Amino acid sequence: MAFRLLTIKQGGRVMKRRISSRLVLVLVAVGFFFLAVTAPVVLAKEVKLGVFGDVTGPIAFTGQQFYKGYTDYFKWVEKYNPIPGTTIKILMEDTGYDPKRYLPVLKKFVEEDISAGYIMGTMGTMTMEKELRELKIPCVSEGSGYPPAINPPGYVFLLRPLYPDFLATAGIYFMEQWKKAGKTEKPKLIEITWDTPYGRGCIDQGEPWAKAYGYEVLPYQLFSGQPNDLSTQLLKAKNLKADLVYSNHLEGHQAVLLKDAARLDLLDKMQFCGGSECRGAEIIKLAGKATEGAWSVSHFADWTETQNKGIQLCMNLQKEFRGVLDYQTQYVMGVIPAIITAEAIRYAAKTFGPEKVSKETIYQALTTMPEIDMLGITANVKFSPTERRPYKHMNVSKCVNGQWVKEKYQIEVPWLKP
Amino acid sequence: MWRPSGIFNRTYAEDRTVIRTRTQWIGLILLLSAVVAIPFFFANPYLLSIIILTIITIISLQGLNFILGFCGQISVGHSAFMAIGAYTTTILMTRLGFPFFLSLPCAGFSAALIGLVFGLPSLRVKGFYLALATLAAQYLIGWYLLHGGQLTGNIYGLPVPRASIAGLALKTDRAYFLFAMVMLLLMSYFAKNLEISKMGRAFIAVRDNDLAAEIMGINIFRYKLLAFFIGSFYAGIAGAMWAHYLAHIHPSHFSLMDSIWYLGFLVVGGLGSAMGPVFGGIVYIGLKEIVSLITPFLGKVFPGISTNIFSGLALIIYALVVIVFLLFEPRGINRQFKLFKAYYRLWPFAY
Repeated sequence: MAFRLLTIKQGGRVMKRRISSRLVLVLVAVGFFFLAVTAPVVLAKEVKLGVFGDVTGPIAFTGQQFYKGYTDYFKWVEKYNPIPGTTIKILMEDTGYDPKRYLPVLKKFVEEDISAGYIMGTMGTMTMEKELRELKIPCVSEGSGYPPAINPPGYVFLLRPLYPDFLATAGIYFMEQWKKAGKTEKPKLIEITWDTPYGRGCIDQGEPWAKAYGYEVLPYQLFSGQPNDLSTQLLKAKNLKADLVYSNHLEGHQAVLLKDAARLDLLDKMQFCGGSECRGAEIIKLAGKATEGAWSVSHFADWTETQNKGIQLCMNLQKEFRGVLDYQTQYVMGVIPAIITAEAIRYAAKTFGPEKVSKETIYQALTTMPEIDMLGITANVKFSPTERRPYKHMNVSKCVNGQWVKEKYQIEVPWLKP
Repeated sequence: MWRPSGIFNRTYAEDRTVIRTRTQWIGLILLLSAVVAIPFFFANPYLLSIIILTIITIISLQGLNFILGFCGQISVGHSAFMAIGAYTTTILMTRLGFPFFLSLPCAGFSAALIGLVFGLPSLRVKGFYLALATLAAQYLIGWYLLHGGQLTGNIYGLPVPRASIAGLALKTDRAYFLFAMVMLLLMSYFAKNLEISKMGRAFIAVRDNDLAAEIMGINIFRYKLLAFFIGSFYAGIAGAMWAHYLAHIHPSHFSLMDSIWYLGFLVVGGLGSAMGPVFGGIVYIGLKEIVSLITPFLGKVFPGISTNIFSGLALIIYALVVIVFLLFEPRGINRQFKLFKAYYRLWPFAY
């Protein structure tokens, strides 16, 4: 059998070329081959992720860094370590840390059929937690100030333990030093902290724990707004002879506290320790030498840990996608949820097939997958069907010669629960 | 007030009637039909959610309009009165097992009573000093809710049960939209009628000149307190609706900034008119949405400019809008709306 392919006129004669059926078969086979090669690209499952971006409003600076870290990591994944059979699409909506914005944005994301989300703070977590349970959309969240989120079977997966555990980390390490120094009396703990849900987040569970752990707990001292003087609170701590001053507030607050402590000559008399937001270049810039010797409890690695694979990755991400190296602790914090989400998608794609990646399978992955290797940025992450906190280990950093360096790694915390 | 040609007020009843002509009736029916149709034809949950929040804001602004727009008393604690409503309905439903239809008016009345208490200084002071007194309400209520122990949920706030009416849970946006719309119509109807009642006229008399009003025999103390009572009642209802829609409440949902922007956008909408809060609410929530849409876009278009500048864009735009209206149209959008209506009725004649 032969097919007439084409007719050519040559010198007044018509020459008919014929083509054999074998050639047709070869052409068809080649066609199928090209189809097969291109098919995975065309049919790759698009996984949509929704970012509730607090990129304006009161935590704008932090939110913008979170977003940079988050998106850069996914760019890196797509370029160097793609998830087979899937492409990632990140949708970001500005929520401005405004409770009025979260719900409309969530509805918008539901319409877009997102498979997972990223919440940048406690406000978003509090506002949407119930709705997320009903909609069954898994979201990783920075909102450790809202403990009810950890009640199973919640859809909010916290990126760090709750705030009382930050206080416990400081308490455990300080007690270790106290005993090493041969002191036998009870150390005195005082909290000087911001009068906000975030600032007071460690008091209710943290202080009873501290008492049980062997501390004498002094009455906590609150301040509101953006103070430029904390002498009153510090003098109270001085009069009560506090040994450990713990604070859960932001860099600017801690800078004021440390500068006032230096002015009152208290830096050598008590140990100052802040939560994870009391660390970074800004505080050193603001408080100068007063920062020397201060501690900060953190759940992630310091920028100075250049041997840490995770920090190396963050630096490479900045070099490749931003063109500059910019020391921002929040940038590292933005990479953390991206790693967890990417690994959950990878696990879901591997276990259920790329075409089955959805909010249901990502939730399944998050609750059942083995430990996620965090490259040393944080302790390895492991959630379970009943646990929404990522790990039990945190670090203490110390300011030495104008840099934050790791003082103590991997302190096991008690996972205090309301 | 401009009326269509041939429409005269021959009785008090006619004077107080809002809908007078066949065109107005047709317009109203069309409007109501469109409103009912919205959730079914525009089943976009995002848009519905924005509309619901706008309705809640309008109801709250209607309350503030009684205090400031009609009676001329300033309140910088309006958002705190909303919080009272939100917490009341939640506590009544979760702790005392109240049904929603009972807890809603209770929320309004509890906010009204608290509003009354903080309105008491209006008997002795006015203007700036009254603003400071109501500012105290904002701080005191906020502080109590944040430190109120288990009753107020302390720093974690309270989860709010879903609203349900006659066994039907208002779980979907569509259902909640219809409920919110009914509430808006009821509250607007009451507001409009109050505006043209004896009480409304007394409010306006107190606002324009309290001394003259007292000489005319108006009990200014009574009417000032009534304005606070009714205004806070509206705030309480709005707060309760907010709570049931969000399903979680926290003191930070009712901030001082909200109270201040409510004042600003009431001016933008038009003080002392029934339509002012409607325009104010739409502009307030609409601007918020527009700004949050353009901010990330601007950040991409002008990467050289610090993103911190864009992070405050919403506040800058709000402030600009309020300043522009204060300078060029202090009677708000409502006045422009009235001028448009008059122009439309007289067209093609100039007057």
